[in-house]
This record gives sequence, structure tokens and C-alpha cells, in this order.
Amino acid sequence: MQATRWFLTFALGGALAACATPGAQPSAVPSPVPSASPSAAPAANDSEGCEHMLEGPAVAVKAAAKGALAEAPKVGEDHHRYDIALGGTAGKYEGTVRLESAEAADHTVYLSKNVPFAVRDAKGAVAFKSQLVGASSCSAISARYVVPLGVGVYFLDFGPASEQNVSVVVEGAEEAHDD
Amino acid sequence: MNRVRAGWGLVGCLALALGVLVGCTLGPGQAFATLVPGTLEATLSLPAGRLEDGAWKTSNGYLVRLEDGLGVTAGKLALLAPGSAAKAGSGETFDPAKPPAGYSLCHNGHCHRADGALVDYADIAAELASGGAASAPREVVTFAPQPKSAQPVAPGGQASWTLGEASPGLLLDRGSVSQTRWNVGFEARGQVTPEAGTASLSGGARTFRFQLAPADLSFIGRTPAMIDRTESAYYILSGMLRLSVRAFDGLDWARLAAAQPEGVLDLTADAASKETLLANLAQSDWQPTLKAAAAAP
Repeated sequence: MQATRWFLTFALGGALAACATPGAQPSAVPSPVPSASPSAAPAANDSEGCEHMLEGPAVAVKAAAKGALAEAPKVGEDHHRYDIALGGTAGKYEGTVRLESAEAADHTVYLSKNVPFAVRDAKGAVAFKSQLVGASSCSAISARYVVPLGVGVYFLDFGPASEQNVSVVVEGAEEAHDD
Repeated sequence: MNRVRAGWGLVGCLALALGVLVGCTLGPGQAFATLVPGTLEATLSLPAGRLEDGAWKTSNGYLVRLEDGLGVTAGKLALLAPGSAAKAGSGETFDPAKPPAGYSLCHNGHCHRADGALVDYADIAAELASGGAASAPREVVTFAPQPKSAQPVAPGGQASWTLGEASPGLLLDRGSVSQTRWNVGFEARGQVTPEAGTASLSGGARTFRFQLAPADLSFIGRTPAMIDRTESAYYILSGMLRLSVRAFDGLDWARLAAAQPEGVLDLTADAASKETLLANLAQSDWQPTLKAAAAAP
């Protein structure tokens, strides 16, 4: 069991890193602002993220329309998988959810599908520290984003995408930093 | 006269011998060690990310300013032994691959409890060894910490208490002790304001208050020790409570303010707010210690 988890950790990092080799297109997803170079190293939470993406526990939420921040439902960094239903029309599904960050730290966001993704706060877009997108050995994860967040409210934007649903797992970092 | 003296001398010797024999045959129910009262402390340390303009920043976009710190009331402290129904243990051995009921996803040294908490392997194993969570622990010694009134703990500050009077006393019977429980109350009064862009509040800035009795919240930490003649004669009991930086996270200030347009917002009177406060404060880190000593300190 333990060996399987170590395998998942490194295999996920390795496979995602392989999709982000220099010269290759790291992602079809536009970052809201220029992002840092993709990191080849597996994130500390990959094993945890994979397990929750595969096994939940799951919470279903319906995303608010982009811009309707007051109506955005909450997702949490609480060891759950959030199954998000996007709104809009066929081929252009999109939506926004709210994340309340309890610590100033790098957070890792795992997506089940490769849909356009961005993070913002009240002041604007938040740059990703790294982003790795592509097929991985963790069958349920298609993209991993590491985002430096402070304590407070953030909004996760999805789409426009052809996919009507996307699942998300958010993991806080093991080492907090001061912002 | 000499015969009388000799007789009393004989009685004295017999009494002494009897005393020695009794001392050599102490059984269950007799004192085998002495508890030494230490101190209790509570600290509040906010990382830089939790501070903004001197205010306590919450995860949902509010700034909290306390008038006199977070008031901490020390309730009963109890040294616990496994309950009688649990002495034999549940017979279940902890296996991360097959977590016990109420736990799942065991890995990296912890399991996920049904309520979302992360619990260390060691704590689950200890729980199983003591008969599982359903068994009621037995109070061995209780203390009434002093002072009784709420002590303010400001960010970066601390408060301390003496353990106070012990009941039934400081002498420990032979047997095992496993945990130390501390009932703690909390209270505060302050002002809350919303951060621009992510939170809102009717009136812009509101005064609030709350008061949670020690009966509402208890912290339990592990202090395992076997009290018998082969171990130490003295045990020093102390404890440290690191207050949760998440105390004010997740409170629905906007709803409270809308429901009560004027006056002081009473979080205790609102069931959902009280529940949130209790859940947040329960995340405080309680570290009791039962330190063995060969001689009286």
C-alpha cells in the first residue's frame, strides 16, 4: 500500500513533468499572467491529491457565472474532491468558485480535466508558481497548478471549455510562507 | 517497672514490624507515586500572513480587532485513566491498510477522520489500545486551576495558571494513566471590518462579543504512564495550549449583521456562529506533559 503511494507520488510528478519539458508547450491553458517555469519536481501533495481525486470524499457544487463573485460557492482545502458543474452554453461552459485560504502558503490545485483555469483575488489575477498539464499516471488528474496564496478569499475561474464538469482538489502546502 | 517498659518496647517492635510488612505488601488502591502540580499556559502566535494593520485576518476576508485579547478561562483539568470497560482494549490492532471505523485514506503517517480532521497513526493506535473512542476514561485526579477569571491572551502574548487544588489528592494509585483533559472557556469583545472586494458587512464595521463556557469545550492530549514501583516516584503534570489562528474563520458576519442591523453582534446567541467558533477553537494545539522524576522537584 505504502509502496503504491510512493509510486503514485513520483509517477504523477514524473509524468506531468514529462509533459512540461523545455521547448514543449507546457499547457494549452492560458495563464492569466506569465507564469513561472514549470517545475519538474513532484509537488509535496501529489500523493494526497491523487488519492482524494480518486476516492473523494466528494462534494457537488454548481459554479456561479464568471463575475458573479457574491454567488460563488465555496470549495475548500479540506481533503475533499469538489465536483463542479459549469454553466453556459455547449462548447463554452464556464464558471467561478470561491476558495478561502487559511494560511499564507503555496497551494496545489489538481484538476480532473484540462480546462482553462485561472486564480484571482480582489486585486486581480494571481500568477501560478508552476503549472503542469497533461496525462499522468494518476488516472484522475489532468493538470496541477501551484499557486502562492495569502490568507483570505480567492476565486477560481474555469472555462470557457467544452467540458461541462470538472473536479478539483486543493491541498495546502506543508510549509507556510509569509506574504 | 522494668517489665512494663520491656512490654511497651515489645509492642513497639511488633508495631514497627507490622508497618514494614504492610509497606512491603502495598496492593491496588495504595499510593505508588506522587503527582506534582506544574503550570498551564496558553499562547497565541499569529503568523505574518494572519496580520494586517494590527488586525487578525480571517480566511473569509474580514479583519478582527480584539479589545483585550482572547479571554481564556481555565476550567477543570483531569488526569485520566482508561475506563474500566476499556482496560482490556478493543483487541483491534491498527493497520493503515485497514483503518478502523470512522477513519479512511491512511497515508503519510495520518488518516482522515470522518469529520475531516487528520489524525496521526500513533493517536489512532493509542485509541484502539485503550478500547476505542466509545470507552469512557476515568478521572484519576482533577484540578481547579487558578486564577478562575478569564485571562486575556493578545496576539504574541500568553497567560499562565497554577493547577490549584487536587481532588482527591496528589497520591497516585498503581495502574496506568493515559490522557489529560482540560476544559477551557473563551470570550472576547472587539470589532470586525470587511476587506474590500471580497467581503461585505452591513454598517461597514461592527462590534461583536462572545462567551463560551469551559463546559462547552475540552481538549484531550496523551500523557501515558504506568504508575508502579518500577517507575518513578514523582510525576510533574503541566500543559501548553497553542490557540488556533483559525478562531474567527468562516463566521458569516454578513448574515449576522443583516439580521441585527444595530448594536453589538452576539456570536454566542447565534447557534451557527457558536458552532463555528467551537469548531475553530477546538483546533487549538493542546500539549499536556506528565514528566517523570525520581525525586521531589
